[in-house]
Amino acid sequence: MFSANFNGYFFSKNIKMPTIKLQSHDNETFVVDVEIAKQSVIIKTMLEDLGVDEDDEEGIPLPNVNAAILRKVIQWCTQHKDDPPPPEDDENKEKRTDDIPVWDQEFLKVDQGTLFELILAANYLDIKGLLAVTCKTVANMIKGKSPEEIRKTFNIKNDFTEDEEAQVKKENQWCEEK
Amino acid sequence: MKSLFKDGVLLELSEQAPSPSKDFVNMKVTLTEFQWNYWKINPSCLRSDTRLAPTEIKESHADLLNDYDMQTDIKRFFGAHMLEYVKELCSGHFDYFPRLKKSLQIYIMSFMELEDIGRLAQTSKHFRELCNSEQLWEHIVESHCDTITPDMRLFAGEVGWKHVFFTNKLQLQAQMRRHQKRALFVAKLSETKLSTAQT
Amino acid sequence: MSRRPVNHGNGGANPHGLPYIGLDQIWEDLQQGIRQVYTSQSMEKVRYMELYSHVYNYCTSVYRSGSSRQGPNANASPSSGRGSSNKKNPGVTPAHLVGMELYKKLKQYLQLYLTDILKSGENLLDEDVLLFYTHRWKDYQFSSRVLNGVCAYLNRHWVRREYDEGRKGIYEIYSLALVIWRENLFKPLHKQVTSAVLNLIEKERNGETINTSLISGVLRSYVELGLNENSPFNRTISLTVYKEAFEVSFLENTERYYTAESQEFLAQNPVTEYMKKAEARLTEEERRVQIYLHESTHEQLARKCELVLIERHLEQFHSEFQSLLNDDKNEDLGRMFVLVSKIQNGLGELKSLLEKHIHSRGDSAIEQCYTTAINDPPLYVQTILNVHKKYNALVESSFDNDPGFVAALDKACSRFINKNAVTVAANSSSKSPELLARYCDTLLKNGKVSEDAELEATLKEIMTVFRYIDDKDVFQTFYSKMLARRLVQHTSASDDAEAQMISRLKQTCGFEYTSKLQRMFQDIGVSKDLNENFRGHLQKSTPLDIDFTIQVLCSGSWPFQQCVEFRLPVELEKSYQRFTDFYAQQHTGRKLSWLYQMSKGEIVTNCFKSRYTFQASTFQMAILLQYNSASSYTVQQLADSTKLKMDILLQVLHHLLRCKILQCKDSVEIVDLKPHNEIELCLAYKSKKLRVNINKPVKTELKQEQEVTHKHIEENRKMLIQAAIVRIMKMRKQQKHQQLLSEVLAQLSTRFKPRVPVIKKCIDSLIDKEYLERVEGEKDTYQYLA
Repeated sequence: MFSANFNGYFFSKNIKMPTIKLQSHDNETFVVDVEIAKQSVIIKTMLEDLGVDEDDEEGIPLPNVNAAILRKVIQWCTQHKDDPPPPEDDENKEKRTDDIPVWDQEFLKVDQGTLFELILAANYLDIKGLLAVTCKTVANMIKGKSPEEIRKTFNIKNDFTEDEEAQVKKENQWCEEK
Repeated sequence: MKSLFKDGVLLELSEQAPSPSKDFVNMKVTLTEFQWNYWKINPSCLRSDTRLAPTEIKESHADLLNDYDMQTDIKRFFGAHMLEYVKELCSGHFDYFPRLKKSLQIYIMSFMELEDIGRLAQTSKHFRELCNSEQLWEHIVESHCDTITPDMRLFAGEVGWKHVFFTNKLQLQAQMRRHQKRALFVAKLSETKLSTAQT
Repeated sequence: MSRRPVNHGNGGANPHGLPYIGLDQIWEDLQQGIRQVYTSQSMEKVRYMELYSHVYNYCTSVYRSGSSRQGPNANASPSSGRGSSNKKNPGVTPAHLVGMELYKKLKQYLQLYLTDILKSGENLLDEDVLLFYTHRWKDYQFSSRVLNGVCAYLNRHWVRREYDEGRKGIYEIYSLALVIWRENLFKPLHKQVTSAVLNLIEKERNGETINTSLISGVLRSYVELGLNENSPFNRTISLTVYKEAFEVSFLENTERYYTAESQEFLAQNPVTEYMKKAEARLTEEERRVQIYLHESTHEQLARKCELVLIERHLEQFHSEFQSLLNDDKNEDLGRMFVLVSKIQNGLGELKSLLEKHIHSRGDSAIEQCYTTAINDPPLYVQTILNVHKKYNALVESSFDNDPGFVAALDKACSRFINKNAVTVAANSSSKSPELLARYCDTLLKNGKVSEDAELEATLKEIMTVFRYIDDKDVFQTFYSKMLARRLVQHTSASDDAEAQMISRLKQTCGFEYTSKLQRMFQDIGVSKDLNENFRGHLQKSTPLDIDFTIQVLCSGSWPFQQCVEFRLPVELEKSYQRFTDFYAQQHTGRKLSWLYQMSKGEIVTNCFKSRYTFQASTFQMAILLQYNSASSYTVQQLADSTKLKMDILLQVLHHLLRCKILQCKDSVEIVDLKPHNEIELCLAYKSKKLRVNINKPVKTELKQEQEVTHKHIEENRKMLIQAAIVRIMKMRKQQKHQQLLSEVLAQLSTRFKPRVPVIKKCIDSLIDKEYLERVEGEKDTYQYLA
């Protein structure tokens, strides 16, 4: 009996996931499984270079990300922790925007500020999957809109003179001739 | 909070009033307020001992939206488009997308359909440039071709990637098979290009 | 460690807080961080992230399009619009310059750092320089990896972009660090380092224990320095640095070292000792590759060692090989085989030496016993087998059953088996198959073979010899004759053994080769049934007054001569007639001819003191039965009544006289018996046994039979050759003489070796029979006539 309990103790200790503390710009600390955090290539590289030390009391500061965004980033990474790693060089394959998972679609129903902050955070932390899905979402927001509608959507200031605007419209005439 | 506007300044512009007036204005929009500095310029100003003291107006975003006089001034100095833009900023509708780093904008555009790129090009000078940039078209060519030979790179260096994209016959055929609709636009675009070259 | 403000906010010199972050704003802190990594070999994660953020902020700030013109006193341009976005040519972005600025700073830093490091190492030699190089390298490698991580954003965007645009000489930061190491540390120091490595290796070859991690550390560094400059993102490594700075001199050294060693050693030691040494050296070098060289060196190093240690001494090896064979030094032979097999085409000489050796051993083994062996099949076959067994074991154990060596063994065996002292004495190459067939006969007849396993092994041995026999048709002929006799005379030890032997022959030579043998077997079975039926038939009608058993043999399958002239004694006539009638009823259209010389019977005597039973041949019976009517006959009278030819009759009489059943009234020597001599029963006949076997085959018959056998073989060969020619020509339609010959030889090789003149004769006879014709105007070309 005793020895059985003894074994059980070690067992539970062994399977405990190593964690890492991430600290947002506004000083909120998040404890995250290392495996989840490793979706960020920069964190992964850092852990590979410096080693994982469980007793690290100090959180790792992420000065470019605030708590609200970091929370969302971690949420996304947790959801996608079992995704296969992205192919090494996916630059050269045809890009599509109709393959966003349903969970991600719901997850990205946020205001523009949050969406673009997520893009920046994904870029900063080098999380390829999150960057792709957020950028696809922006691309989808543009899809099928007229130039004026696009300006409205993103508050793009029209800085063309009237002549320039006529010229640029002519240049891109082809996209209206369906 | 917003890392795209880390310094808190959304917009800062200076402008002279339309001729013949030589008055000078500096407009600044921060995350919290609207600021308007106005220098009245007359011949006395040219005297070196005169210190110019500008008129300074500071008000909240909400106040500006109700300050029709100020709005008229903005329109007078900076034009109607600028007024629209400033009003949007003051209503909290920030221009995240145009402020994004260029490489990210291009990355987003790499997911877009060709016709959407054509429309985005019509929204502003910045996007017009971006939509015609080598970086974007190189991307587009790369994502549509299986392999890019060193010869193709060399050729692209001379005539540009956009040109490569629209002249590569094999690519055209491959694309027609995949997206017949899109290939039609391509053919038409080549025609328009041709006609502009003649004029 | 103090926390530095990372978010500069309005920091820096810009009063308007524009989102531009200058290099000077971050460089100081970044440099401090880098220095810390390179000097203390550690970094906290907090710091790592800070530095990464520096680089990130620096790289991203300049891309931003939100900057505006700089206040009222700047050169105000009347055009409207925001800041940089209206610049005409964004292709020359500050981004390019800014990335370059940071890149240059990093490069400069590393150059200075290494120049400084070099000072403390440039005067070191041997192990000191190795310790210096490997430790510094390890530290530098670690620090550069950290630096690379910190600069990940620069790599990912700026470096990538530069590379995509085809700019040369821009590397990922880690590769940059390697390039700088190569230029600033490796170049000035590598001669010292490499020679220290080579010295250390030589020490180890001399038997000293060395610190191998020093060597592997250096060589791993050399390998890594061979980065491919043309594709900084493709981490494939070219080994140029490793090869040029190390491998070339290493291989030279190796050659020099072992050339000297092998010459010296061979001058003082026998080749057998040298081979042990060479073997050990080869293993040692192999282990060297595994422990501290790059795997790509393996092939070249092995070749080099084999050249110096083995190939250059091949002649000595060859002469040693012969004496090792003479002394049966199998272990040394094996060692030599392993060594020489590493040399391309090195084994050829050994193979031919082995072949010659086995051949001469085989020859002399038979030479020693041929006078006995020519009449002693078991001795003959055993002698052959002993030689084969010995060298087969050698090929298996020492030469790893190498196909070339197996072929040498086969060639040698086939040579001495088909031509040796026995065949020369017999003046016939067919003596070997004949003796082998006789050996089979003794084995299968005597009933000696008891254990299954033993039988199996013996048959296997027979087949071993059989495979080497050229004239397999001769074997077939003799074998079938002897099988026939075993079957007819019921002297076969076991049906099972016979069947096994036949199936082995079938495996080796095919169905056709054994079809007659199998028919003989069948006939015996059929005859059993026939006897049953006949006995049943007799019981229904009038039974015979004597026991009568017959065997009906298919004339084509059995190697027996047709009957000699003979009159059956009246006592047997009746049975004969009954059976002939019975058989004719059952099988119409079949002709029975009686093989009297094969038949035998039992005869019971009432004329002697005891009542004896003689087992006798038909001829003996015929003669003895005459004495039921009279007590004395002249030889001529016996000849007349039995219708036997005189020579045969005399033989039969000779035997009966010797057995003292008959005696001659005239006092003449048995062998001088003449037709007028009178023969009578010898009433004083005595024997210890009541059953006496007096049966003895007729001798002249044997001799004649042998002649016929050989003639038969010749005829049969001609048939086979002709058939082969027709088969080939039917397929080819036209064929040159020489090609036709070689195809015929190939086709018949499993049966016998046709002699060329015989083939020519066959071709001629086929031309006569109009199967073939010579093609006109072409020399030596035949055409098939359908």
